[in-house]
Amino acid sequence: MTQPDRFWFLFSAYGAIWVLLALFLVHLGRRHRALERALDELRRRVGGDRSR
Amino acid sequence: MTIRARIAPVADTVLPGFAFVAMLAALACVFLYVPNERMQGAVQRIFYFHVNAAWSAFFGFGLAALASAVFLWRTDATYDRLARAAVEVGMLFCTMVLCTGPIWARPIWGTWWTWDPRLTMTVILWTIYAVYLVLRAMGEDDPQIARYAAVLAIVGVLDVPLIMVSVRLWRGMHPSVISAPAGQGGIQDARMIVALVVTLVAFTSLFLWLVWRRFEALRLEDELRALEDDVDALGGRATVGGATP
Repeated sequence: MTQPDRFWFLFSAYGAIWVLLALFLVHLGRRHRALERALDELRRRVGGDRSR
Repeated sequence: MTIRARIAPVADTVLPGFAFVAMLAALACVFLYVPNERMQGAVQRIFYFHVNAAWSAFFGFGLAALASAVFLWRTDATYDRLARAAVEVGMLFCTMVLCTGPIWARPIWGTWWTWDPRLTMTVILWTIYAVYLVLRAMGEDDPQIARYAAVLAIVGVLDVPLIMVSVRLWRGMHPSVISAPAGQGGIQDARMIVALVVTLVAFTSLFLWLVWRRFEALRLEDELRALEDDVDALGGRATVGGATP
């Protein structure tokens, strides 16, 4: 196997690591935003309850 | 001041910055500092991230087993959340190991995959903790499911020492990467050891930061759910991130 071929494998492996890490961070970000939305909803409801 | 309050400022501010700088240093070591390995050439550089991803996965599953044992003993939900966060992050790193391993194996062994004892045991480890995550996703707040999952996390970690000794015990294709008898591989150059240690620091700090973020998110979800229950009790309806109707 030639050296350029081996470089292809090297960069594929590191690419896979960064893609997996990025997917995990996106997943964390989505859950965080869902949590923020739920908090806003709760704040709105508690505010609404108080005004009643 | 609680332990969480003491950890939070460091974990939220110092840790991500440190992990980022350490990862840049690790990449510089791997691509600019270490020499090519004599037999494998440039592709051997996969080793530094592959091995440390495995270390982080084992650390995660070990931490999950320990936290699960404390959870079963003290029935404190904090340890259950820690176990769940550690498994999720451990699974990320275990997936990295299973992706980079075949990419490294192809040019060196001539095959993407072989049912070598270490590889097979790693797939079993991944499957055990995948079942753990499925169980948690299906069980939601069921305390019985949380206890079953804790037992699974403790049983699953028994596979880790088997993976570590499998190379010597069953003599598969997978090399003993850190130390090996003279002339049979291992790392020979001092610069390779430096790169391995820098990458270890980078992966460990990244692992700790990810576990912290996930742990905090799980804690907030639980607190939010409890608050919503309180609001419901006062006469309303609520949902946590659309998870409940």
